[in-house]
Amino acid sequence: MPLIQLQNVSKIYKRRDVEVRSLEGVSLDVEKGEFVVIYGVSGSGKTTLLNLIGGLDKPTSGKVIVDSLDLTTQDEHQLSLYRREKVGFIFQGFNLIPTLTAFENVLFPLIPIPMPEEEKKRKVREILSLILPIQRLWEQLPLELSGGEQQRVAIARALINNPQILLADEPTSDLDTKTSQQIIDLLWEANKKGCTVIIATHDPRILKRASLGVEMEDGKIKEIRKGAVS
Amino acid sequence: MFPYAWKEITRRKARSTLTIVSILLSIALLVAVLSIIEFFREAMKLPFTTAGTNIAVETFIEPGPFKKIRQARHLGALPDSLIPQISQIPGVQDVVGVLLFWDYHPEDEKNPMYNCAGIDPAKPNIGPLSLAPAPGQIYVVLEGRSFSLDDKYAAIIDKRFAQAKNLKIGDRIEIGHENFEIIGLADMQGLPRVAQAEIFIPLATAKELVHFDQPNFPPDAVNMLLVKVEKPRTAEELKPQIKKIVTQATGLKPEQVKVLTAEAILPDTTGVSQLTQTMMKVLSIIIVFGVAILVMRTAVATIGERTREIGIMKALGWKNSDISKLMVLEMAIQTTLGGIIGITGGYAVAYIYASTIKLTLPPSLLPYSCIPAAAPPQSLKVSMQFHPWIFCIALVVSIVVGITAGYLAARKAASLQPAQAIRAL
Ligand SMILES: Nc1ncnc2c1ncn2[C@@H]1O[C@H](COP(=O)(O)OP(=O)(O)OP(=O)(O)O)[C@@H](O)[C@H]1O
Ligand SMILES: [Mg+2]
Repeated sequence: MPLIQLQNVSKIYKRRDVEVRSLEGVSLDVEKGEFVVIYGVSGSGKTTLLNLIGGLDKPTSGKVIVDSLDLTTQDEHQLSLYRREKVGFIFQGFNLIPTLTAFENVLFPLIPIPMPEEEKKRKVREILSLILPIQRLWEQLPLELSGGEQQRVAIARALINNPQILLADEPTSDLDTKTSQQIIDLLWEANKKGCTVIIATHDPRILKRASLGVEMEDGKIKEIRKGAVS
Repeated sequence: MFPYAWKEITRRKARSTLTIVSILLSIALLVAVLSIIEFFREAMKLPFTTAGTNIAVETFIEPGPFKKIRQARHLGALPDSLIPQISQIPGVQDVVGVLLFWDYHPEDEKNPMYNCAGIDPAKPNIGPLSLAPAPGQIYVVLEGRSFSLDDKYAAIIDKRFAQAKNLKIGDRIEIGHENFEIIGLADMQGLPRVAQAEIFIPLATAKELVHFDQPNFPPDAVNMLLVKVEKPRTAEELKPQIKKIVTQATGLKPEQVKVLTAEAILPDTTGVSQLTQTMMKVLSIIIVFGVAILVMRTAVATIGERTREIGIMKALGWKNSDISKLMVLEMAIQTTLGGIIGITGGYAVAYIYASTIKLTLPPSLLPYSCIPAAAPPQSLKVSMQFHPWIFCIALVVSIVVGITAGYLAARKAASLQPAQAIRAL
């Protein structure tokens, strides 16, 4: 059974009388351990799709089933537990909390979790030494970090609770070529360690790594390709 | 979660300052008003506590003819039969009669009028010479001895009077047409008290002296009753009953009968009427209430600015209850901080006020002639007390406001759609 199943999913936003069909009849299966790349022009529904998989939003119709759990029937409390235990998010833009240091940003998802403070810090140190090895940077605020460094912090934050699924929305859009490559490598490594990675992007270099390429157009899936997209 | 909450508070300096300062000022006002009213109450109780009583009853009539002895001021007779009658009222613990009179000494050119009181030797714990100390306090220090039941022409005199007249224990003093032996000197510790006098003699003797010179004044009567109640708080409730009994027994008009309690003398003494007190309290409560609403609105408004951050929290697996905890913690920290500073400030203001204000006993409680040999202590200077209940109320109010504000903010935060919240800029 696939890890993620989207069954005929539609998402319609209503603004006054105007209906925006953000997703329309999308069906997609993602197996565990895949490296999925979703691409398509701006406004084609990529972010909406990631939000549905991450349990941040509910479809207007259709089902989203992850690990045998039907997200569409879960309440807000169960969804937050789902996000906490299974999903890591990397948002469009870095979305770090500006008043917290790099270290504190990574610690952030653990704050409400009942776990000894030392244990939390140990986990943060562990993940940061892999992803942002220069320790001096840990105590700096997001504004004092480069774009690439900020994105590394965001990745560390997404991976802190060992998610099964890593969702990344345009992770390289604000980065230069070299940094983008490093970020892609990090996501790739996470995938190699067993994490199912789903990335929405315009970046062709990511497409090369994909095990599953999904092209979106006007809220529909235009094409699904197995293996790297060239 | 605490360090994060603290960071958020320091990050939004303007808002946090507004919240803290507004809570601080309103709580300070509340604490100051409550403390000062409480201080007034304490001060007003003093002349009663020093005499071991809660209520003083007196009547007001035309003064008798000018003789060597006349009853003090315009005090009218209260028949002894009132004592058992009032004692029977539920809640009354004891009743004691005092006979206050003036003794004319033409040979004493400077202060020809001596202030005398006949007191009941059987009840040494109630009256101007009350020997019952309140916890931790002694109101009368007696040199020599107090009255025994068979003393007749014995007198205890105020120490300051003794000094002014150069009298000591064993000396004799003429009161009315009788000669008294001074058996004790009373040091009143500079504290005011009801039924205060310069010379104290046994009540029975006083009755004889007064009746001799003022035949219209019945032989079996006093002119002030001191009532001790079981619970000081009930003094006010017992007043109407006592007044009714006294009015009936004396046949005087109700306005001639005065039943005085600490509560009753407060307006005259402080210039703050009961109504003003209530209004001050109500006003400070309204202000606290207004500030509470302001704080809650501010807290809810902040959520608008934090939409995106809340979206991130939700995406990172924070439950709504986790976000609630954070909001409540943030608000409670601010209001508790404001509350504690406010309590300190309010108390300080009240303290400074209390130590500068001068309260003096109302004339109705001072049965002195206009030119006493020893000026009676009148100043109600008591020290400001720290009242734990005011502290508790103020602290609880601050914390409750914080928790409520945090809760309202959290409810708004919970209603945000995570996906929308993250898109918000
Ligand atoms: N909250 C919303 N209300 C109304 N319309 C929305 C809302 N969120 C998304 N949409 C619309 O849904 C469509 C899909 O949006 P989505 O953000 O998924 O696109 P995208 O592929 O991620 O685009 P981009 O590459 O620019 O990020 C767009 O037309 C967008 O305007
Ligand atoms: Mg997008």
